[in-house]
Amino acid sequence: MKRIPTLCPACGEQLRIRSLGCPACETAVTGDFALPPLLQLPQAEQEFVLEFVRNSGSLKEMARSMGISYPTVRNRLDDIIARLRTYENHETTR
Amino acid sequence: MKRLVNPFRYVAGGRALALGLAFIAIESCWLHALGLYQNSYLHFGPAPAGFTLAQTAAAQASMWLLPALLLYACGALLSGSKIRVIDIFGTTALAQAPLLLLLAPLSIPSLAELLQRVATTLLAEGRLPTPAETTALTLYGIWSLAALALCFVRNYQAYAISCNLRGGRAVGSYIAAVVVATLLTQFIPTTF
Repeated sequence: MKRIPTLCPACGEQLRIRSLGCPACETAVTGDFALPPLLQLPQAEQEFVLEFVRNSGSLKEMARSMGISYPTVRNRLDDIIARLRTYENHETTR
Repeated sequence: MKRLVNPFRYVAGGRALALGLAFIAIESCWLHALGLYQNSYLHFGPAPAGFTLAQTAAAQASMWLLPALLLYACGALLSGSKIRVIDIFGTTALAQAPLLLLLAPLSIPSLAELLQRVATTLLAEGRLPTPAETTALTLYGIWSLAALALCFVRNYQAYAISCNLRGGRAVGSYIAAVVVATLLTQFIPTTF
């Protein structure tokens, strides 16, 4: 499955959605829509969030399944939270 | 290999504490056997006459606990993350493991005898050691510095991972905590 690009390959700026299409009836919707914050995360961090949900939000379980220490998992989650806050702030100031 | 670069990415909490306490116990026994004790943060000296194994272990444990407490206080003040006491105490205990590298050469009888002779006879009489002795002392000095540097690096890694700090804030607060720990631990052995 192709991954949704989140950053502009030319300038590195966050991409936005300009058009959406229905594959069944070919209806097209155009406009200017922001990507949801979770979708703006890099691929590795999106996978981390998925893993977090799969483990019912248990950092201990995640640490065990990923073979890394609890503070390493918690630090990564804190970094993702900080990144999401940046995206949200960026979006509200647009 | 990755585990050797930064072991605390993989081990922390209760497991690190159990391993760290085991290393501290081994170091205490080894120090006692060599007639030494840790008389301030990451510094060893000859044990006073009649210094028991329990006192050696208490000195060793306090040289880990006090800096760990200071680092925890720094982390609580500076970190935006929820830090766990068990992580900072566990990882800093395990970070003491490289001290064994510092003790290993002292178990070589000829080197221990040479160090003893340099401290008691050569320095007192103002005589210079022979070229062979100078080489041995230089090699021991380089080895000790490397082991000590590894101790500091491991302690810093333990602090940075446990408290989710990095960059200038982590380095600055770590150096401040080490300086304060070094000053405070000067007084610990006299309180036993």
